[in-house]
Amino acid sequence: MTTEAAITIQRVSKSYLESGRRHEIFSELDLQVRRGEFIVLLGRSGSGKSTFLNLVSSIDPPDSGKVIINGVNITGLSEHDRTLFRRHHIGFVFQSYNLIPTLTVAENLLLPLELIKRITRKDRENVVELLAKLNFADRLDSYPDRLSGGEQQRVAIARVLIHDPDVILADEPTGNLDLDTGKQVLELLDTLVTKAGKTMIMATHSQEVIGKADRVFSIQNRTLVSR
Amino acid sequence: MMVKRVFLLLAIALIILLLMVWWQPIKFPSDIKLTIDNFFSATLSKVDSFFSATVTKKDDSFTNILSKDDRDFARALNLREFKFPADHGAHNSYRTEWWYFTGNLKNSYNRKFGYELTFFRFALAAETPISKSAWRNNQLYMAHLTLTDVKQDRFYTAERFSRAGNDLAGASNKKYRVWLYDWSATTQGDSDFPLRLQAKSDEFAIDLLLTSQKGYVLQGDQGLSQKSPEPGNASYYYSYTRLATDGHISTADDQFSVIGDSWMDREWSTSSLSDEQSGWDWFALQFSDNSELMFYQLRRKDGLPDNNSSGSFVLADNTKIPLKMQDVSIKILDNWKSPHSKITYPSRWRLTIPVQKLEIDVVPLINNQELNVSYRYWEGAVSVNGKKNGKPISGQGYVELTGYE
Amino acid sequence: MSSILDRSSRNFLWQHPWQLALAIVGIALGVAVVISIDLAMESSLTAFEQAGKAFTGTATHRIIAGDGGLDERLYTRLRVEQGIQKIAPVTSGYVELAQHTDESFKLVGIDPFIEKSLQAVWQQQQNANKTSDFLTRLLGEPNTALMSEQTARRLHLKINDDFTVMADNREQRLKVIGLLAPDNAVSEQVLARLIISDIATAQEVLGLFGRLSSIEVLMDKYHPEILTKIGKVLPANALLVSTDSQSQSMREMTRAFSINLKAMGLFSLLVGMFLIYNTMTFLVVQRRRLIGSLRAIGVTRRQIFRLIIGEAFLLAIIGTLIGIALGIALGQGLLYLISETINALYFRIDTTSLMVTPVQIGKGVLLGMGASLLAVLPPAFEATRFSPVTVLTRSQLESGSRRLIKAAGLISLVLIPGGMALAFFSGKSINLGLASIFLLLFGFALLTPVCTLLFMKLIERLFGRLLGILGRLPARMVSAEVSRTGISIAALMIAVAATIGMDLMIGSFRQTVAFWLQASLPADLYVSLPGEKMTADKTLADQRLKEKLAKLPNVQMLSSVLHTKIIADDEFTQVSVFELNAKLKKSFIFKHNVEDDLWNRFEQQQSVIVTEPYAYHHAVRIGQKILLQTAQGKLPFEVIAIYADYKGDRGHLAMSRQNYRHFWPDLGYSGIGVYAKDGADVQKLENQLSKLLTAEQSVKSDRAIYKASMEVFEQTFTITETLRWLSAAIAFTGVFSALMALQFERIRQMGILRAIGITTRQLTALIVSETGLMGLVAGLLAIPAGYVVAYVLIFVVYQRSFGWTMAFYFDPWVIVQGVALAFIAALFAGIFPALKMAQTKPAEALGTE
Repeated sequence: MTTEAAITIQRVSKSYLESGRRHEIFSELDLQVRRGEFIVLLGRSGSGKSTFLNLVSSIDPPDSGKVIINGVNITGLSEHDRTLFRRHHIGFVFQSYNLIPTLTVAENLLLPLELIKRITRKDRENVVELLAKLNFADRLDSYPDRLSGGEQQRVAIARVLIHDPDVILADEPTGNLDLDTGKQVLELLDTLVTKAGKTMIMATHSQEVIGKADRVFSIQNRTLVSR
Repeated sequence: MMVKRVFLLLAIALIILLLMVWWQPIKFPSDIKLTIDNFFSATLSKVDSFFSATVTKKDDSFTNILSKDDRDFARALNLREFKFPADHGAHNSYRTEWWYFTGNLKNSYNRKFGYELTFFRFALAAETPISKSAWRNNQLYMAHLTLTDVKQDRFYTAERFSRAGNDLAGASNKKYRVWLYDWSATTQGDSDFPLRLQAKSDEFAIDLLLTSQKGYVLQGDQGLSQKSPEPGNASYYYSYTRLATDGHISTADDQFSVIGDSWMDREWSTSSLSDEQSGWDWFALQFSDNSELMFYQLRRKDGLPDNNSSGSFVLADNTKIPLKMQDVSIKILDNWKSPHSKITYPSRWRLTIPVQKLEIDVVPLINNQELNVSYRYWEGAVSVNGKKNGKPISGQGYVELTGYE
Repeated sequence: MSSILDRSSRNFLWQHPWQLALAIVGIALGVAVVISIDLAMESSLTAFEQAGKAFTGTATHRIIAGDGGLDERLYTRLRVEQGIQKIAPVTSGYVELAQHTDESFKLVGIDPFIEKSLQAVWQQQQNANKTSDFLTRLLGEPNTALMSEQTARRLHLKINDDFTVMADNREQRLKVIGLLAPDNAVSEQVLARLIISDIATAQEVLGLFGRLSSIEVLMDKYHPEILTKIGKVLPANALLVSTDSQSQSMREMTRAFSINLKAMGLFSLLVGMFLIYNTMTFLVVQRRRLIGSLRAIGVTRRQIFRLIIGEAFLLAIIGTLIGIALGIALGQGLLYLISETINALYFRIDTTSLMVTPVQIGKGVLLGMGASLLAVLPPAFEATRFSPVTVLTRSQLESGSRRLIKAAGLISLVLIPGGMALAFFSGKSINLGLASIFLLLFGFALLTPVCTLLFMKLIERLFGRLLGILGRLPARMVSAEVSRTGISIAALMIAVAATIGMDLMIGSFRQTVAFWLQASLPADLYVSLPGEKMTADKTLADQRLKEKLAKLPNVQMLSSVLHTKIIADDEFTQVSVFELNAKLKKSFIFKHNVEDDLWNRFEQQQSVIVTEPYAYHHAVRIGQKILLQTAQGKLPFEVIAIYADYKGDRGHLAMSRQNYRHFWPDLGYSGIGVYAKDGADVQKLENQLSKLLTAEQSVKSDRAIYKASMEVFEQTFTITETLRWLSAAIAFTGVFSALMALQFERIRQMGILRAIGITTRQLTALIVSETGLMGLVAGLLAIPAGYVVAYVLIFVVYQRSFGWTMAFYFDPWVIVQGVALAFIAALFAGIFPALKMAQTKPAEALGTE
């Protein structure tokens, strides 16, 4: 257990009840991710990639074992504290973008900030600046459903970065996008995340990204196997 | 899992609800059905003394027959002096009383009709109740009206009931008037006759004026008519044997002016028949020679004629000749079975009265003259043909047959 | 349709049991309320109508008389002199059981010898063995009576048992000599409150010697001469009415009351419809992806339509069945309330149990099924619109509905003025008056979405800065899905508006009546002299009592009133015969300016004063003449004034005693007003007075009468209040279910919020503030809507129904309550989904689509 480890997963097991039968997904899983490391998780649909990300983010607590992020054992926290922890330290990028439909593009970006502090004029400027960088300068007040899928995903990535989390979890961020748009989004993720030195775990089918990854795993026999 | 359980519960709740609805004693109202019951016969059976034992009760379910409690009533024990018009009125201290009018009529085309209008009085109790209510009254009246239409072979009947209270029915002691609702026999002047009979039902009606031809005849022993040996089992009985009749009758479709002759019988008593007697055959015949015959043959339950059968022969000059059972021989020549009641009645008789040198055949004008009212009996117009003193004689009259089952 | 297709949709339905349950509850409650009102109302009226059957059977007509009663000689004249055959005398009155003092029975005296064609219930007993001689005994033995088997069982009486009743101011023993076995529900119902005796016994027990209550007549149309015959001997105070017209006029009398009740029933059903509409819409919108896929693989629009309608049909059947069962149970409860009100307002009815007829069940089924299917048509059509190629997104649907909302707003601008216009130009029709209320409510409902959008914008503008992005979310969520939230808000608004409207109306009515009562009770003490006004000795006793009262020390003056019935226009009309004094004259509240010589004319001329309801129902104006039946034939009486009176909704005439005595027999008094001398001890006087009275007479102070009258007022509104709360409860169930559906639809959105770090507490606050906002809008909009409803109720519907005018009394507290009700109800409706949402794991929420 080195201090360099951003994420430590210790003997984590997870199973679900499905039509009365216990279905074990992970058993005694161990993994250490260093700070700034970019990890790619490959695997068939339903192999447990999303579950793994949910375990890491503490959205879905494990049956047993520990998840330690930045030295905090989040599996030992209460639900409320886990939520607060998530707020500060974890960013999510979903396959289906998951912007809040009732908030404008700018508001979607400001919401995570508002959750952790009082929003200042500086914050607003940052948001505007970031969105301008992504070519959304004229669409700050648009609602997400006016944007295309790729645009939405780019806003979602911006949302992840705006409050500067330590760990970013991306669940097939290009899954709903065509090849070109997907490439752009990956590009964006790569530039923004890797360059900012963030730790990132991405679940994906995309082979393109493998080259950029520090490590690549796939899920086999209820555990992670290095490729 | 959860979902299925919820729905299972819902389904069970629904079934329970449906069962509750089903079991709740909901009765759907239907039209109220008319059911003929026979409380009237029950009513009258209770007051019966003279009549019901002789009459076939239609309602056999009734078993609570007579209260033989006649103690408080007056009885026909002794001879009495008849006074009119007082004795045309009601004798409420006796249990039973009647006013019997029968007659043979014809219109100007010789179309023949017969009619009967009878008022019965029954006392529920001997004492007169005391009440401020005019309806509190123990005297019940019943009336029967029949019309025999020979040509159409039709027999009309109607029946009425009422208590005497509130002047709905009664018989006056001041002048001859007996009435039940709008059916009445009322004198038209200061004397007892002419008497007007008025009665109508939905189907038919009579309106007749009766004029006495011969005066009255006291039946039995000066009006005391013994019906069985026990003292008091007797009635007071008088008749007007020939009443010239004139008036109108109407049926559903037609009206007729008619003339003819009527007969009136008046009788009251408290008890009369004995237990062995089952009924009677009663003849009231008017002959072409202006004489009349009244004879009742009481029948015993064993089928034989009763010794107390009696009658009278009234000559043209109104002289009465009493007849005893042995004076009259009655031979039944034919029978008729009623299609309604399935009862077989005699339907043709040969009467022989040797002392009068009389031999006659009595034939109903039509067979079906059975009254299917609260009490069932046969009472019908008859024609008479035969010989008297060897000479042909004809006539008409009424026959009453009771107690046939 | 293929079963797989069915299954594809049904599986989806199974996954939303709460929604299904709520839809069923909605339709069930709606049907239940409608049916229960119908059943209870019909049972009350049928009981009254059928009561005749027990002693009249097939009678087509009835001879009745005013307070003098019918002379029993009339029956003899009809039967003996006129030879009318199919008639039956009846003497009846009420007796109280000595053992169970609260139970009263109608003692009906009959003549067992009436024509069988009249077919009275007691003439139709089949069980000759048991009951063969009861009719003879009835006639022959004094104080014998018949009752139904059920009643006897209830009172633990057997044949030949005695029981004691109170009648004619004394205890009297009756003997049960026969039991009647009703062969159907109607006769059972009819017999439940009857004791049948011979007419002689009835006269003796009730003390009604020489009198009949009615003569029942069976007159077939082929014998018009019977009419002439009856006319020949009919006395001046008697009327021949057909039983049809009598029950018709009875229905006419209660029509307004009945319509108002049924309108409330329909209101409940309307809210029920909203529930099923809401559920089906939810289920359709939720399945847009599924339906899109089905369309893509070749399922036709018609099949989709049938699929949705089929589901609705199932829900409707279940809901309707439960509704009918519930309705029967509920009707049992309402029956009591309704008969109480009819007793208080119209005429005496004796109802004990609910009569359920196939007709009413059928009505309920039709209404339930019809309303459900109607409510499901819009979502069913919406379902067919889903394109097979691209599934419409929520926002696309929303932008479509924005156009709809605009259109709805515009329509409402037509409907609201239209409703107002209808209210004022609908003439005398109560139905149109109620229709205008529905129209107005509907108009306000259509206006709701637009108003909601405006209100949410306003909130955001006012508080957006202050609240931050999270704080702006509730208002955003309300307006973002206004096609859904708008309907919930509209439903809540309607329920609250109806509540406010009814509250304002009842409040105004209460104030008006209270004011009127205070004004019209000028005397200090009131002596009430109840009882049948039939006999001469009673009249004499009344007069003696009045003389005694006048002689008491401390009595300044007296006034008197006699409530009686006089025939006007071949109809019995209530007449109050007054002996006035200066104070009593002042207590009349006239609806117009009166001239000084009014009282002079009232006492000297052939004149009457009419009450406002009378003037309204008979369209009578001042100066008009009313023909009243007197012993000398019909005579005209001029209407010289119209005054306020809220005692009953049929109205009556007021006449001076001088006037009355000229034309009608003296029937004593119904009440005597006692005016104490100044400074006299009224309490002492009351004690003195009460010593002079018989057991059934009573003396009450003006305050006691005021209190008792207000109690009667409250009682007559119990049914209205009950129904109102019932409707409101259904409405809230509807709103509750709608809000829940809305929240469950958003479960994924909530998942995202949770994922980005919103705590459960924040989430709860978010949802509750959203529903709270909705409640607030509904409450605020309900103020004008409720006000308008109250206005139409007071000045249109109630005036038309009952002929009463009232003052509009505005109670701000009602408004506050209404808004609070809406707000709190919506708040509560948000709590359950919020808790549920908070419990949902974000991972699951995210997994849902």
